Amino acid sequence: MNFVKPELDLFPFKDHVKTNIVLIGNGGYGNRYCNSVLVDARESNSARKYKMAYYDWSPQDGREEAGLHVLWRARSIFLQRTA
Amino acid sequence: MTKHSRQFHRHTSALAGIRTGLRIRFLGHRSTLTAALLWLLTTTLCSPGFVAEAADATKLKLTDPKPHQVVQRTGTDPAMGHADVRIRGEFPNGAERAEWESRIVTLKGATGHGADWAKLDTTVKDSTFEAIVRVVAGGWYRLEVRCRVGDDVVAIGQVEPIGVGEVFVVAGQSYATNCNDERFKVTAPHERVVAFDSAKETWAVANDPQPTPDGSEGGSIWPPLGDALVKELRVPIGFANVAVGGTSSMQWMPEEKLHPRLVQTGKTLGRFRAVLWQQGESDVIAKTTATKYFENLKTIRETAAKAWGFEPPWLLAKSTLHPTVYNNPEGEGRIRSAIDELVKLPGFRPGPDTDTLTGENRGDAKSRRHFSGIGQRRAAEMWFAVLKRELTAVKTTAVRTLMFLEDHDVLYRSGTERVLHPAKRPTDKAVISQTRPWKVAIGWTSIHRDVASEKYQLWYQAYADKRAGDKRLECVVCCAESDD
Repeated sequence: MNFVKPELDLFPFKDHVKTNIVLIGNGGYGNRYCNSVLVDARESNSARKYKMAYYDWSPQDGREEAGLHVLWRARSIFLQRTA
Repeated sequence: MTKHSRQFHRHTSALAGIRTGLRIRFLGHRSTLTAALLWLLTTTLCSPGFVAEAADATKLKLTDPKPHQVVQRTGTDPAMGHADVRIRGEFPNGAERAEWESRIVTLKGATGHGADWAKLDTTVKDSTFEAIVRVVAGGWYRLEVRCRVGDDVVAIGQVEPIGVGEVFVVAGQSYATNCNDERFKVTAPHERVVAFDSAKETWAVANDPQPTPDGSEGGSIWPPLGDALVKELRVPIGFANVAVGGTSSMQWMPEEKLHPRLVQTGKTLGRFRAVLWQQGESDVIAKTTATKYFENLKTIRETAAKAWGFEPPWLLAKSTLHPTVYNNPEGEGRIRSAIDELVKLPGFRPGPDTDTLTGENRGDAKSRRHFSGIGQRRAAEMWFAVLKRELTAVKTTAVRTLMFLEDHDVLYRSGTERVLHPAKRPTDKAVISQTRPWKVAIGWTSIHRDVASEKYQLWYQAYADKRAGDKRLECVVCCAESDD
């Protein structure tokens, strides 16, 4: 078993231009806990086949609220944040 | 020219007659309608893809399967599974060059489905032939076998009804035979509950009395059980009852005369689901010790299984109560405790506790002195519950692999042993280590094997805290992939 961390251009970290980071915070309070990925074979929208659920905080009505958040993506690695 | 070859010659002559229209004159029909119908028949038979059966095709004698025979199916789900049915028969002269075919025709109200004519690989020895045909669970069916040379059918035979379903061997003593009060008839649609007569080696609808070797003539518990099983499983049900009234476990031992019949019946059936053992009263009377009863049953089962070449489970009813003959709680307890120990062994499983059927469930001294009609029905219900559980258990063990086993997944576990297989590390090293500055700590992970790339894809939380210098990067999700 040999996990390879891809060198992606998504989110630089200090002087590291390429990282394997696929999800960062929104700059407010919170941490991206408990991520869980579901590959939904029955999803009719191909852009939403991969879904990631995770716990985070996000701004709502001028303040930050905690809750379960979801991302989705057609292909596996690069998950997009929902609106 | 031998008699059979002359007969074979006549087949081809008859076929030629059909093709040239001479058949009309041969049969002596003169009406226009009849002539038109025969013309239509002739035209149809001569169309490409049709095989003509000669009017005097030799009758193919099939000796197996037998009418009303049920063959044990694979699988346990209602109306599911199949059986490889052995066909035997007498080989007709004139068919040396023949191709063999069989088909399965569903009869009225049948479950399962038939099969069209298909080639039959036949082994011929002397004047007999043998073949195997796969039949889906269900019935009743008609099995047809034919031999043909080219498009000409030279011999054809059939047997009906036959079924593929559940088959049980019944053994024990009087409560398993026809010593009970009420004679039951099979009520399942199309009489799809049958009994095997071990003396005649025939099958018939399982109306009471059952064809037991002891010649008892009252009622039994098996027709209502069969009815319930047909309804639940949607396949025909067969019982092969070799129980004999008044017999103790000693009399079923390998050196005694009941054992060979038990063994031979199992061999004749080929495969069956289970042995239903309803016995114990005579061992109470004989004062058999628990240890002796335990050893007897163990020997009987092991010897039979060796002879059969497979190990069907033995379902042991607790059948020690016989109120019109004795009241012996201590003796009954000995046999019951022996059964409790037996069902912890592989190959034995608990059957119904029919000793709980007391009062109105038992006939009085003026009756046949066993189960009353109510008791028979309730005993059948208890056996049904056990068999339903048994088939569910088979399904559980047959199709499911439980990687992380909890006790609630185990329906029952008599005779089983818990074996723990500890998880193994493929390597002592971490498969993801904290090698980058944004990974001071690694947390929550999620892993998936991608169907397209066949790679394991991993998402994990990486924590850098204030070292990140950017609040958005203090806690991030990263990814990695592995080929294996």
